[in-house]
Amino acid sequence: MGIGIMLLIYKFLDKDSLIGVIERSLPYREAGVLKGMVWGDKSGFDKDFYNKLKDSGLVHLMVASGTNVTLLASGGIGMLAGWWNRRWVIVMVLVCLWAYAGIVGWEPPMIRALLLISIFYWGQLLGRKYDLIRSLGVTVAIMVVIDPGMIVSVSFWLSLAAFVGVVTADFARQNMRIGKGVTLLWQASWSTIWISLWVTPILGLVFGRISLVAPISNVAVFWLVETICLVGGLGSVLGVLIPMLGRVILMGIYPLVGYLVWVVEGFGGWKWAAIDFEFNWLMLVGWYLVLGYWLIVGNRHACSVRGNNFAGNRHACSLGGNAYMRSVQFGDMRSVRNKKNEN
Amino acid sequence: MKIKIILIISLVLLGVLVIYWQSKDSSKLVFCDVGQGDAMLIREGNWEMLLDVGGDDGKVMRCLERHVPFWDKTIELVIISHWDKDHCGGLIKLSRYYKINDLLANRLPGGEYEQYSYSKVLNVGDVVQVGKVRFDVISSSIENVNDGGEENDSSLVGILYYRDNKILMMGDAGAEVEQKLVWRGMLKQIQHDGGIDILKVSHHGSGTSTSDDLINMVRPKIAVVSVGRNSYGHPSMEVINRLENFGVEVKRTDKSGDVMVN
Repeated sequence: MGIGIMLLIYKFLDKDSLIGVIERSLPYREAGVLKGMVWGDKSGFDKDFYNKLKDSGLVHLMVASGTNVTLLASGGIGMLAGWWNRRWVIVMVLVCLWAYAGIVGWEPPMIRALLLISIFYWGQLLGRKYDLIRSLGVTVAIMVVIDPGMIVSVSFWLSLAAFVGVVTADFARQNMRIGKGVTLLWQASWSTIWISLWVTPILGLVFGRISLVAPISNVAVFWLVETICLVGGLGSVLGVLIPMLGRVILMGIYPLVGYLVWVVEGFGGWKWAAIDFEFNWLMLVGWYLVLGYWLIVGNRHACSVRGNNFAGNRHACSLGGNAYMRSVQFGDMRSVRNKKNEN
Repeated sequence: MKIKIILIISLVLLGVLVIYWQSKDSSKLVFCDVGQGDAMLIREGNWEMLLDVGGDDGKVMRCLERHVPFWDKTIELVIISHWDKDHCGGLIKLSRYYKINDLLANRLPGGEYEQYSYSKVLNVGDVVQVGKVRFDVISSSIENVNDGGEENDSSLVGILYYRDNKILMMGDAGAEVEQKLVWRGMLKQIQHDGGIDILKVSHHGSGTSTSDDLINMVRPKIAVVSVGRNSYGHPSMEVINRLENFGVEVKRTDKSGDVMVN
């Protein structure tokens, strides 16, 4: 019965109706940003604003992109796993994300990102021990077998880079030595900086343009992306069914989207901060080698110096082979603590 | 997580302050900066009226964003002076984002604007009055098109009374229409009352309009030229000089952005 109702609702959720709810709830620019972030619709951007998005280094957020989907998946699973069975949560979130991809219109970048996420989380569902690097390798291999054309697709590599950034942010943070005073700020902004570090060289290689303020502008807004996407998606879906309810929900996030627009306008106005800089392949490889070194070797060193931060288990400091670590990667700290108590 | 929640709550509170600030300033008349096009907004509390809506680049939406509270998604009255793209092109976006209660125009549209053929047609002598706003039509399409005039000459021309201001809205009407208005005595009452406060200069300041005769008769204090980057040479320096020679203060949307009238 429940599934029947869900399917019926899904049938009536076409992209135009969903976008219409946003347009009739928010002002033009804010609606444009929300339409872009949640439903991948770019009709709300005029040329001037789009250039500001590029110059501020935030254009990647304004499409229903791999980055947004990855953030939604990891954020959603991390949050819900605290209350429900993790396996069910993974299944539920993946089903919702695939339904979402259908509504957005089966955009190739989103399908790639979802394949990546689905294969990765499927490994978790199987419940076998694995390590992050191996599972990522297997995921990429399966995707390339499905569509060999992906190997030359920029959006695929961008999705992959963002995905690696998201799932390894906590590992990488353990390697940092930071003062107590800046801990909170650092924790809040680290994931964003780390993801930017993974994505920037590809953007530089492909577009030959880098925004110097991108790390700052991303830190300024990245923490909102998950909330905006989740509430924006929920508001527009409910708005198709009960228009007034959808409007109220969307108006609730107006200040958040307004702030995002303000950041874009502000940083996008700094023309000097967007420079033409072409990465070459050698620089790209070198860049990722450094990040890889930081992640693997630096992490081992940190563990040997500081001992184990989370699970009281030596394995937890490596990139693989441990169930606790998998939870830590996805922010499910509660399950880590529970496991620790059990031990 | 705690920081995130605190920041989100702070932003929401900031939003509430913005809402308060937006609702305070509830009466205004704005000549919107819509680039090369025309759009004028009147707001009285929760009631809004647009006279022309600019081009299809959505710039009128930015103007509404600046001057209308974000929760108000209804424009009570839209008047289209004529169906040229730089005057009505914004309708398509406008009607997606806002509910339009009443749409009035110089004639029924065709072509890509056929969906707006539900609009009511205004004729010479018609008076639109809503609250403190009154719009008297003194020239319209039927008369001019039948006389073999151009599309621009089919513009609605009217006198807008808003609070203590008398504003002559010229649309894109050319010199011929101006001459008819002057010689047929349609502006006699205006002249008798000491002229108008504001002249919305015809056709973005084109050299083919805003004649000496017209300026002399209506004696505006302020002239507003709604213009943007263009290849037509608008506004014509001849027109600007002509207005300045009569001691009229000229305001241009391409220089000042939105022109607000108190």
